[in-house]
Amino acid sequence: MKYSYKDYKHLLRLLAIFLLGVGVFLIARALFTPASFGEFGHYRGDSLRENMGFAAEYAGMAACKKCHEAVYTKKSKSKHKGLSCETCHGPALRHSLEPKKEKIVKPGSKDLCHLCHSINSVRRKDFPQVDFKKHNPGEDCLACHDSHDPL
Amino acid sequence: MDEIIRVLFEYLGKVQGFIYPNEIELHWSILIVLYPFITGLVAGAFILASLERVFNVKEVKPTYRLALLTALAFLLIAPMPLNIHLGHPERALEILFTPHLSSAMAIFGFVYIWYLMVVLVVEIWLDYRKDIVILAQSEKGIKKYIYQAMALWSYNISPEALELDDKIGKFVTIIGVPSAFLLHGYVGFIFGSIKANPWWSSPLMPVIFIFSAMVSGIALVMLIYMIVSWLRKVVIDMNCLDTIGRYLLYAFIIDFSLETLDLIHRFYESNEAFGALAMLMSGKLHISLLIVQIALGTLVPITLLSIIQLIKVKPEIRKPMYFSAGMLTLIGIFAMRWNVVIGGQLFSKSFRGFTTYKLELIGKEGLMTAAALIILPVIILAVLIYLFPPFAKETGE
Repeated sequence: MKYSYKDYKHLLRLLAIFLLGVGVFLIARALFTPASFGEFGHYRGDSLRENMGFAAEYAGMAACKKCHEAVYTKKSKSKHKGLSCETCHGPALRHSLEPKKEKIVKPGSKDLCHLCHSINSVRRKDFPQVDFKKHNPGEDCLACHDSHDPL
Repeated sequence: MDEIIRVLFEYLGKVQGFIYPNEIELHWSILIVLYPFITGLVAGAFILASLERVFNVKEVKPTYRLALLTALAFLLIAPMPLNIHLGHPERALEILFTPHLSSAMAIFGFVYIWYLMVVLVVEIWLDYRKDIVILAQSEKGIKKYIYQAMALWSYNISPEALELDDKIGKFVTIIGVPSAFLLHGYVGFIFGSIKANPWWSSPLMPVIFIFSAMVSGIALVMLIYMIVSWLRKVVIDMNCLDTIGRYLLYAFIIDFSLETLDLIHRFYESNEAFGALAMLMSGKLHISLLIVQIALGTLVPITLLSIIQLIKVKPEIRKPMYFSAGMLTLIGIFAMRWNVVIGGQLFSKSFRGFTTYKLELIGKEGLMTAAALIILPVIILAVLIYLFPPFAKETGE
């Protein structure tokens, strides 16, 4: 053989450093990978349990109907029938559990109507849109329109 | 609730037409523009270095070591924009500890480490080993210990040992060329494989990224070679500069052809997204795409480099021509990354509206951070040049 040990001694040392690096990586991997990783899939099993621990915020329309049946019936026949109560009123689970103590949001702001009904050329033509600068500026929408049964 | 409405309302000013709520704010900022830009510089610089080593283009020898050090300096910084953007650098390791094969980003971690540790560092070490051993024996104080450690306390520089180093070095460079292609091709792949975004989704993307990387890396090393020569007050090897200029032109022509092919294909195909993309090109990206990227950053440098090929130009004029071509190329390639990353987020997936990107000056994702990330590799390069003088060979021989 042409080369002797001393000619590739430095290369063997380099190789040793690489093997050491791989070893450190494998040890770190074993140490830092969470114990519940891979329990259900390619993620930390505990994250499911942590998420299950979060309190629910939304109640769903069925809960609103229990007390507010008149409004519910009115809305379900109106043009807003596709909207959930909590779309405008916000999350309502706590209110549904303790109606006296936890009050629901009653949106009075014109900006809320704006989000869907301001005039925009890319919206469908048959969708009701108004120019809020010209259409009774300063007036509250709810003065003329009933949001549970809009015109 | 009112707060959400107020904030949403405020955003309406940034938006034209119809846009989904999650598209108003751009999630990938200037830092994500820098990431493919810097990675591209690395791949390009390495490919220039491999010209000498693998393809035997002896004229570019004066830039061989400089190109390798440039690649290393920029590669060390390449993942930083991503880490700063994500804001949790300690989580970067998680992608390596528990990689998923379906995650292109996780595979990048391994490609990056392979390229840094197995290709670049080993190649530089083997090439510099003789110098390191000599320095370890001649330097004094703390520097002596640094060089001794770098030599791995093995000081054999017999002709046999160096011959072995050279053979292995060549082998590493040969693996390095496909690795450099892989590193940057992957960056293109990450964009090209996003099927939901018609501005990105194209199988040409990785190829375009590889060639634009070569263009930007060659231009960068050419500029650094010129600047370093001026600083050292040595004569620029015009033969070397001309050869780099020629290769820059070749790479540029292929890159420009591919990008034009991509555009022509989009125009001819005119799929359902084309209306929005055409408005994007003529509107929001008008300056950065048509003027900066294509006109100033591509056509002007190609013209300058072609003139040098076609007619005889004096060296005193060739130098500023190369310098301007190099600077414009870097600006053009940066604009290309900008147009890909930012451009791809400016239109709504409904193809009916656009949003606006406002670059902040200070702050985590601001212009100052980006500037610092571009200056940092230059400082690292200066330190590397100080520790490993790339000019030892030419002055020694």
